[in-house]
Amino acid sequence: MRTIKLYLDLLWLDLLVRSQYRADFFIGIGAALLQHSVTLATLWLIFAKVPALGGWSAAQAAVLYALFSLAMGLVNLAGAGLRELPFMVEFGELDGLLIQPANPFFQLLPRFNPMSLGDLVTGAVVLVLSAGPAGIEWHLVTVLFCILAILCGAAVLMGILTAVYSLSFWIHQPGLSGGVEQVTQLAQYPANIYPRWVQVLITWVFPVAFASFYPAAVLTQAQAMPLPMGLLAVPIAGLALGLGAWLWHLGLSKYEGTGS
Amino acid sequence: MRFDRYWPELTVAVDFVFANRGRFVLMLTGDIMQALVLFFIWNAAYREAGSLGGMDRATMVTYIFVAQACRLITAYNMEGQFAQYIRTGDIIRDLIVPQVYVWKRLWFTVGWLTTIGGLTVIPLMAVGILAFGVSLPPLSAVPALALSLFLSMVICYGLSSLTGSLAFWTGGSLWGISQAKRLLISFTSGAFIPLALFPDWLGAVARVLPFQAGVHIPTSIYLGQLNGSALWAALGTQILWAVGLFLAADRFFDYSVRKMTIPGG
Repeated sequence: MRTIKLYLDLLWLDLLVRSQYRADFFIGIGAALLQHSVTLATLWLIFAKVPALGGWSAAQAAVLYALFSLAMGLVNLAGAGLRELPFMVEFGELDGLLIQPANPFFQLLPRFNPMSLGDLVTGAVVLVLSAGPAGIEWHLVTVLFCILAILCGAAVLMGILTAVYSLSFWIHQPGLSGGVEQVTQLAQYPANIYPRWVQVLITWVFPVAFASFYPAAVLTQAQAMPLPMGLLAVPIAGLALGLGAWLWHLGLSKYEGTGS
Repeated sequence: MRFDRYWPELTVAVDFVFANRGRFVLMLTGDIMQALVLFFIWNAAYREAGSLGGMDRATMVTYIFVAQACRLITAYNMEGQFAQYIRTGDIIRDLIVPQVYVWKRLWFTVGWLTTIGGLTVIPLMAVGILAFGVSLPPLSAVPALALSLFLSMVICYGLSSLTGSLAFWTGGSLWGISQAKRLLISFTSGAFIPLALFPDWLGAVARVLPFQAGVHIPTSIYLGQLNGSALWAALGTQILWAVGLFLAADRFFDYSVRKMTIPGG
């Protein structure tokens, strides 16, 4: 309980710090909006020439994209500090967290990233606009499924990123984790346009497809997808978080500072 | 300009890249990744249509890889470091040496981009050629391609330098502006999607902007789409942008540096 309060206080504190640089704060939100606009404009230009990609219409692909943006937005809101871990390990700054009488993981996580607001706004707007044309009817079950899908998607991504960034305890190469993180961008598009090995990769190795492809397929029925495949995101999220936590603890126990 | 004063800038850039090899190997995997994602998307699109925007599948695959290689030049970002120097006041060190700042940075940029280019573009294109059927440029296009790539570097340097000088006005904070610039350039240069597929109005806008000179022109030369007078016109456009942006960068730097206040580091 105390940890949660501390985490929220730290996140709020960092938000206050960031908002002191007002221009950067709003530019950060704007940059995220622009990034999504560019990706969506690219998709839109392609869909202007072809009716479907792998059986997914423009609206259905947009729903998929929106679910992923919302999940990633939550991760960027709640855990952007993870991305600083490689640098903190390299420069020994992690020591600063370890001497505090609180869980270091929840001291590391709260870094307010204004871009997360851009992710969430884009995701919400795109989802609302594209749901109708994609054939989604809003009633209690679909709304609940949608919320569950976004939360589980965020948990899956959070688990994967924790695991990936914890690698920096062993491999002292800042940039490595950022490179591996790029695998997540594969989840922005329908998985069935990829060759088999990529599909296996993003379903069973880095299960990022559970943050977008499977729930979107269940919702839109862009391709036949049974409900259990969408609900599988729940145990997968648990596994991903477990793996992330395990690697974090293992890495932290090996951490010795920089010695320089 | 006394070239011997600037030559060290170029060699320092080369050394710097080699000292940070690991970082560029990762950049390379990022580039290959991006090219692959685009490849898969277009691959799915070409299952629906034989020709898109007047390009067949084989041309598009080559386009994706070459554009991705050129994007490396347009992604060049020295404004972040520039902003940091202004914030901390380290820029003073560059102002007291007998070098013209914009020339100094230009040579650093050329050395930097050529070395990174060698390290990442060759493997990227090798993957494309061996695994995805990317074709080689016509031999006759190679000299024009080399010139065009060099001009792209100067143009992107000019844009980066202009953006960097803005840090004199914002007190050394540039992150958002720099992000916005990167995205605008990536899109309107044709790095994500060929200008031929833009709607007419957007294509017209993109063609009068300098960014297309970074990706669209060299890629078109590589594909052998520009010949004769069209080729000369394209290179002429690049030369005008290169000279214009370089002079603008020089003027703007001189003007801005007089406004400098260093908040302290």
